[in-house]
Amino acid sequence: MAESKHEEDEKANQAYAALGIGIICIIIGVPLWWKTTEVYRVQLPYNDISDLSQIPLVYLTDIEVISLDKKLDSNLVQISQQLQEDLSRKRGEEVTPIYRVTVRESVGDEQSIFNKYDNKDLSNIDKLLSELSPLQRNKYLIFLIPSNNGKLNVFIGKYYNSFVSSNGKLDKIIPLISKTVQMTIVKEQSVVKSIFNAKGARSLKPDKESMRSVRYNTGYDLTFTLTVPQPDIFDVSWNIREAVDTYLKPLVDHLKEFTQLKINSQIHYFTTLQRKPQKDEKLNEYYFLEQDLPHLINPIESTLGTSASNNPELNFIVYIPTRDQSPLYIKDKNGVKVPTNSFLSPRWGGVMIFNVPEFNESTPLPFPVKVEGKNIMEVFLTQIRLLLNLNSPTSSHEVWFDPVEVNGISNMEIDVWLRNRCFENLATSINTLQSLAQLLGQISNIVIKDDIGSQVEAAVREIKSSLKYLSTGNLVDAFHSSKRAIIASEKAFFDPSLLELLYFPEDQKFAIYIPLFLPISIPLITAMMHAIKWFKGTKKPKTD
Amino acid sequence: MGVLSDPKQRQKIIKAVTKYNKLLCVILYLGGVFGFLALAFEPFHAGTYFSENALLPGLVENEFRLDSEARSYNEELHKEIKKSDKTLPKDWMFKQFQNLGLDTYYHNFSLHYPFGMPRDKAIPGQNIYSILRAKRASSTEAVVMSVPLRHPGVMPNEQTSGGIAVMLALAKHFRKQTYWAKDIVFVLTEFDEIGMQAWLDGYHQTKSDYIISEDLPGRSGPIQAAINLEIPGEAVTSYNIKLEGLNGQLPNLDLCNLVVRLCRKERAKVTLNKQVDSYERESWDSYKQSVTTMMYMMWNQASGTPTGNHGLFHRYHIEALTIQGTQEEKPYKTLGVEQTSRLVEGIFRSLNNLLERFHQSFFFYILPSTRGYISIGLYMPPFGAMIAACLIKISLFQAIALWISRYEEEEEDKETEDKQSDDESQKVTDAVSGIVSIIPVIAISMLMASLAYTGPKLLTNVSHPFRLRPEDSLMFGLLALFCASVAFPKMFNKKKPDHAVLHLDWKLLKCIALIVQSLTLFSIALMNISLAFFIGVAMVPVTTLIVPTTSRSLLLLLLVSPASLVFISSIIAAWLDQHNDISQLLYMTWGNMKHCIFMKLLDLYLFGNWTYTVMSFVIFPCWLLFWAIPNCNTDIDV
Amino acid sequence: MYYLQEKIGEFFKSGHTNNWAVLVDTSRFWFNYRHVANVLSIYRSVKRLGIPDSHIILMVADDMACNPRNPRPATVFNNVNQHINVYGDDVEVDYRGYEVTVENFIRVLTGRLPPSTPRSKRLLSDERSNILVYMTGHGGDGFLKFQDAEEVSNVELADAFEQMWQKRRYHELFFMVDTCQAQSMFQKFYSPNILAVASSHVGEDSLSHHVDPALGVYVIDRYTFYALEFLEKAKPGSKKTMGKFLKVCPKHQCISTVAVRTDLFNRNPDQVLLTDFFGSVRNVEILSHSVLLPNITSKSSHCR
Repeated sequence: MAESKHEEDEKANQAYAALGIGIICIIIGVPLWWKTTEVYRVQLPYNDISDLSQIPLVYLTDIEVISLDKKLDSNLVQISQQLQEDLSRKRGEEVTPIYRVTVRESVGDEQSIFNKYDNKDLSNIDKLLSELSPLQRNKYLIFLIPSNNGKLNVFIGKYYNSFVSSNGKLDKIIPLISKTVQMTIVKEQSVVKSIFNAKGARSLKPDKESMRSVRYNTGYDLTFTLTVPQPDIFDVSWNIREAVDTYLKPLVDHLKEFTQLKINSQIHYFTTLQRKPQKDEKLNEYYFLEQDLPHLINPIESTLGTSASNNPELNFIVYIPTRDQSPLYIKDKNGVKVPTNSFLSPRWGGVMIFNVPEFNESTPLPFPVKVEGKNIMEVFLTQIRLLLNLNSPTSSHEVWFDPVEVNGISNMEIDVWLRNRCFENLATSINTLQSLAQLLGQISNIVIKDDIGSQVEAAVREIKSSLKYLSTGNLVDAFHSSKRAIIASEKAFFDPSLLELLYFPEDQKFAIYIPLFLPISIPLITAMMHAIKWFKGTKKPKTD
Repeated sequence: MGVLSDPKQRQKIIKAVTKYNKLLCVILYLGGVFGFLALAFEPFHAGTYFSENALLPGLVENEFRLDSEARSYNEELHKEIKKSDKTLPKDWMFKQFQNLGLDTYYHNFSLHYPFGMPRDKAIPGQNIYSILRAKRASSTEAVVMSVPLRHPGVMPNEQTSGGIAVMLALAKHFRKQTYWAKDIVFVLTEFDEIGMQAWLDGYHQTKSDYIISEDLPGRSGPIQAAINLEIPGEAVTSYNIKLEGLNGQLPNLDLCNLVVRLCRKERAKVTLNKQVDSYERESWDSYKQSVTTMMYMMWNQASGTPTGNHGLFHRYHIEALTIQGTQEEKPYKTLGVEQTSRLVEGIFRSLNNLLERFHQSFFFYILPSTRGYISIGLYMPPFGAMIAACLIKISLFQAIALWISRYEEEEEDKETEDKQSDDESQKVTDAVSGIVSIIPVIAISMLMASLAYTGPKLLTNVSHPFRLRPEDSLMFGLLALFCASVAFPKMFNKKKPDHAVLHLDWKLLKCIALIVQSLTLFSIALMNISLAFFIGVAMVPVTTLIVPTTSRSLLLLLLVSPASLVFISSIIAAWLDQHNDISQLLYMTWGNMKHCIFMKLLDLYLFGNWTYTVMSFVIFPCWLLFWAIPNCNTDIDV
Repeated sequence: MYYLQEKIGEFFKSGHTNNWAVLVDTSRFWFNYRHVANVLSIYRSVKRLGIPDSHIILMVADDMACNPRNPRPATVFNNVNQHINVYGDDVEVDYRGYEVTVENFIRVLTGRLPPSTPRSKRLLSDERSNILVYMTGHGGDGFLKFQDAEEVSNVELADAFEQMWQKRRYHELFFMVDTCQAQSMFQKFYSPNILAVASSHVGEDSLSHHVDPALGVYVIDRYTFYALEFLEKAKPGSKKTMGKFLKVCPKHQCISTVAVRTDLFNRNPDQVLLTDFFGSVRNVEILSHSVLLPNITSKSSHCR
């Protein structure tokens, strides 16, 4: 009797003890363990980020058509309506351009300028017209000039003016204006392509433009190198500073607000191309074929040196051939000598071969050679424009462009560039943010610090404000917002602290915790089970 | 009472153990001993392999081409030694090293003899050593090549002049090479181990009590490995590897494997304890050979004395071994100094590849042959089984004690309170008397032990006035102590009329003694398995099965006393030395016993060999505890 | 006055405009000489076929040439006949010694380097870059050992490549690994446009090729030895295909089985040029016409 009571008491004590320990473990232990092994993660605006791709991409452009053709005076409203309709047709692309079209007659000042100068001297007219009122970005003036010979031509000026010749027939003029606006002034296709490439999608057909040009960056390092393999024979000199100041500075200044072009120059001695050119016996000339060109750059590049910044580098090399390989030409696929004697390498820079003028054997060595700034700058300016994606247009019979010459870049080209870069930045940063969000969601081990959270939020803000500016036509502010957005998103994505915390990869977490918790938990659980059984057992007779 | 588990389960196990007690003990003991010995059988243990990947043994080709130089060094040295038959030509050796352009130094030390006549007289000694600095490394590590200088009058097979010639030839060759990452230190020691200890003391700036060494004039970095050479001047037929060090420490197994592999590359015969590996693997003969090799190694290890100069390095965590050249009667192939030089060159090239100290392979092992090893993981379980026999016995008494206490608890519940108090008080007095009765035994055994440990100093102090040799006085004094301690239990049997009878609770005493014995044997086994094994094999069966009744147990216990163990080991040593005649055997045994105790004490003082300490301070009191058991009164229930 | 349209050349058809190489040797200590010889041999081949130093990130975990144990100081040979010193005059090691860690390797791949890192230590690739990643060292099932102290797991590597893909840091990637159980390293890849080859299957060991008895070490691994044989025969304008390269070192030569993964690669390896990954054939565009500028002179002197 006493024994069974003793046993009962013991069993009861055991049960209570087991349950007590179990409860403490579960209520206090588990939350404590959970909290202390947590990873610090700042809350990111995941919803906002995924919504970013839902925001429709639009941009607004102002078009003002000014008619100087008396024949069209009555149809101005009609022109306006039809033009608006034409331009607003859905293209089915990702980005939608919106045009605000106004059509009016010319005012007195404009008239007088036209009367003073002949229609042929459009560039002068263009210049004077642009002085009439302050230049506004993203607002394009199209002057309809009566055509003499019935042919329809378009002349695109350096500033914001374009001149379309009209023959009075609306059904020809309106499509022409529409086409001019879409393809030449605003270049909708290039906007679409920018977005397409920024998203990283690749078309099946490689696209030269996207492969050739460098991405937007807040700064670029341009280095001009004069390579002299035989300084003992040729005493080469160049006035690169003057050349840069004269020919390159305008371009640099135009783009100063948007991107910094840092320019360096150097002279290299005793570096050769290391590839033997082929000899044309008859003319006693040397030449490289187009397929040899890819191998020329690497030997020079190894000695070029790198800059200390993280900006993309563009190298422009002037190569003076050695005496036994002079003169040296480049021939294209068809065997025709290339007039510029130069080639460019996508996203890298360009090379120009400068042939030394003839000299006789009797002249004392070293023979002085002067490299003219104008010659090299012509070539390099073209290459820079290509590499920076400044979209050099080409003239045809229908469309003439006022040559840019020393200015380096026309205002409309800057607008196009700004618009393209803006969308490129936006697409890239949206992409970056979305992949960052996906990455952080996928890998739950990474610590997300506060400053990353603030960068991401800043990026989201700037993207939204940039899109808003674009929809109201404020190109410059939109561009600057997009610049800030891409800087913030890149900074957030490439932050050095976002390295995966793989101390315990998920599948090895078990291996870490089992030796720790299993030895305690097994007796605990079995004891608890016994205790529960016992409780049930004691309850049963009571309910009988 | 268990909180999370049920105590009833435990009771069942204890009851089972109690029932089959004796049987279990015997099975465990025999199983342990035979299991241990069976490990020598080739399929039961693993083959040797290289753990340290950095060694790359034998991969690089030998570049030693100075064969003629080695031979000429050997001949010149032989001539120089012949010039005097008392001293060695140290100056000649010094000059040879110096001529090679190495940093050569003399190292002076003096030995203060711990016993013996003039205490203040110091015996001077001199080592020679020279350092070859690595050309492209910064002296951060070193490897040592050492040769003990032996007196010209020793037996021809104990000569080491060949080793000196090898050293000189190699120094000349090594000096020209650029691929050394460690410095190489060449050491020639006088008085064998004493000189080595002096040099090591000077190098590591430690101090010994009786060896006074001056500071080393030149030094290198921490030593990673050391090779000791004992090669005689004449051609040898095989290389014997000696591994055992002070207190039974062994070098890393990789070092031994390295030497074996390189000997094979040279096609030289290599032996362990002068035992050759058998050719077959799984036959009875091969097993006998393996067991013999194993026993020789354990015998050497158990004594705790280093078998060569290498044994002193182990204390500083430097792996070292000795390569001894042995000559057989009928040489099949002879190996001259050239071959030895190539062998040592290969060893040093491999040691050069090391980046860290040896740490990968085993430090505790037994070698039954050069191609197999028994690791600690293999030999501990049989040894543990052997000792477990003691522990099972303990459980018997523990069980009984528990059982008794449990019964008493239940009785408490049943009876009334008055009875409880009576019983309690009675049991209390009994229990108290049980423990109290044991304490005097323990006290006396500790007293005897401390006398045995500190006695020798006193004994040797008085040896000189009595014109006795120190060995003799030690021997007789310790024998006297032993007889005194054998007699002490008689004290307990005296009954004083007015005191209560001293009931010696022999069960409790046996429990305590068995616990002490197991503890000590396990502790010794961690360091020196052989010593623990031999003591265990002898003592465990007797001490476990001792009961206070028969006189047969008295005799058996006497047979495993420390004194008789020393006697038995001396007989075995004499028998190993091939003295088969009985009277000569006994005479040699007596000499061996004296020598053994004397040398052990000397080792204790000079090098810190704790075999004597263990025997006198640990085994002896333990045995005394057991000795009390058969001698006590057996009035109480068994 | 005129601008003319440039013609699209045929060089643009491969889709990539520049090449990068990330060559990693992860093991140190003298007895791992062969790993350093491996990576330096691949470095030499890749440079010979045209990739410039500025586009190569070379990580070598230990200095074999100046190791005091080297009987031929300042050289590293990959062959017992010691013809080629792969540690020649113009070896540019970007990450050396203890800088070769898992963290630095992942940082280089994902671009998450601290702002003060110099250009030569960054992988500045873009979405038109083809990248060659070569790794050698000691490995196991699912990991590769770095410096005897840490490991990179195949999951980590796959995640790093995925991050590269998300940020458009490569156009196509060729992954070569020569370690034991190397196949496990690419089993977890899930990003597109990756072609991978490993020197052994899971459960197999990659073996070294031969010993140089004068040095006393193994000087090269089998797979890299036969791969190098193949690469040495290629010239900068070579038309050899990746398909042939993937068949290098069959079982009777390598003893381990070479494993290849092509399911993530959308081109047929038999139509991919070897130089798409190992060389650097740049695209070029001839400039037919240029801007015309007026002649503005000044009196300042010319600089030399």
